[in-house]
Amino acid sequence: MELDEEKKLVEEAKSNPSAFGTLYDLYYTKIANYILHRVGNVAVAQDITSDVFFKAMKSVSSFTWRNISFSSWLYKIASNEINSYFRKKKYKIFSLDILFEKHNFELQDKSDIEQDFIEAQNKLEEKKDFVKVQKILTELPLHYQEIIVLRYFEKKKLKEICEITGKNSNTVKSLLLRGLERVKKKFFVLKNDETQMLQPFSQIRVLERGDNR
Amino acid sequence: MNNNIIEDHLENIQLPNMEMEKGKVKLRYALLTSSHWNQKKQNSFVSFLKGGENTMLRNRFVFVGILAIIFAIGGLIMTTTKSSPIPTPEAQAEEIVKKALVKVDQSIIVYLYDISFNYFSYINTAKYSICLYIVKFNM
Repeated sequence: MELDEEKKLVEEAKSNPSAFGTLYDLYYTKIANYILHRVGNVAVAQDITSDVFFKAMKSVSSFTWRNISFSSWLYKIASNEINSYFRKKKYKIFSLDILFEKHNFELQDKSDIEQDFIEAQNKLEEKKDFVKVQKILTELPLHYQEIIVLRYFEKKKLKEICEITGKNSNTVKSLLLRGLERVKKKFFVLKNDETQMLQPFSQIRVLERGDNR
Repeated sequence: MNNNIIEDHLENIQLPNMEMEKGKVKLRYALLTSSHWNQKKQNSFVSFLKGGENTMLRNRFVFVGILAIIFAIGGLIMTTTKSSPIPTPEAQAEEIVKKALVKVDQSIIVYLYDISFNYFSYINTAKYSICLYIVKFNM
């Protein structure tokens, strides 16, 4: 979407729910996936995504364009929510229900959402490489996690990462470098546990041996 | 180990996707039919004071600072006015009498001291009365 078009839509979304719905359709998947890649749990990701969009709905009226795009603004809210989740370790399963109750909605059938969670979580568990890397990433400080996920999983450009994190490009570059160093160290820890080694990590180990020679 | 290898692996990892279509639809419905949209649009001044995601904190500090300065200046003016009111004729008369009494008082003290008179009890009783004038003239 063109920037001007997005600006127009955001202005409209300040008072018009259907315009906000269009923005929701545009960004839901990106934001939900980003949250899922950070937390590695479908139920928690759904919970945080709901919070992010509720917050966005409440604050969209005060959103002004200040060198940050709407999508970066959403990512920023998401990052804050994720960081808050990791700090507090709050875990509210099916909080979508709570949010619905808060806004006087009644879920017709809760079981279908629960079934969705189970299926989605099973699919996630199948991505073993991701599960392993995600586990390593969650052991890193939050600012490294955020930047590594944005750069390598979400394929964000440096400029966008700067917008989302509010850090300058040099800081982002140095955090990326140091973050990768830490990930590398975590790989070494995994090295001894052969049964848990995943194919790509094993390849890294082989390459590393080659480098040492 | 080269960082590029790790970078490559991170970039090429198979990522899971959020496959919660029902949750997405229900959240959308909840958002779009939320009571938030029916709320009266807040007065911009009230929302400015309340602040929002993008209201600059600095603006609010400036506003509160200006208010504080106005109140401080107002308070200062009020106290200055109270401490120096325009004297009424009665007050002016009272002031003149007081000054006169002090003068009389001092002259009596000097005079009584000269004659080694125990003047304190005498002055204390006579000080604030018109008798002082009589005392002075009698002495």
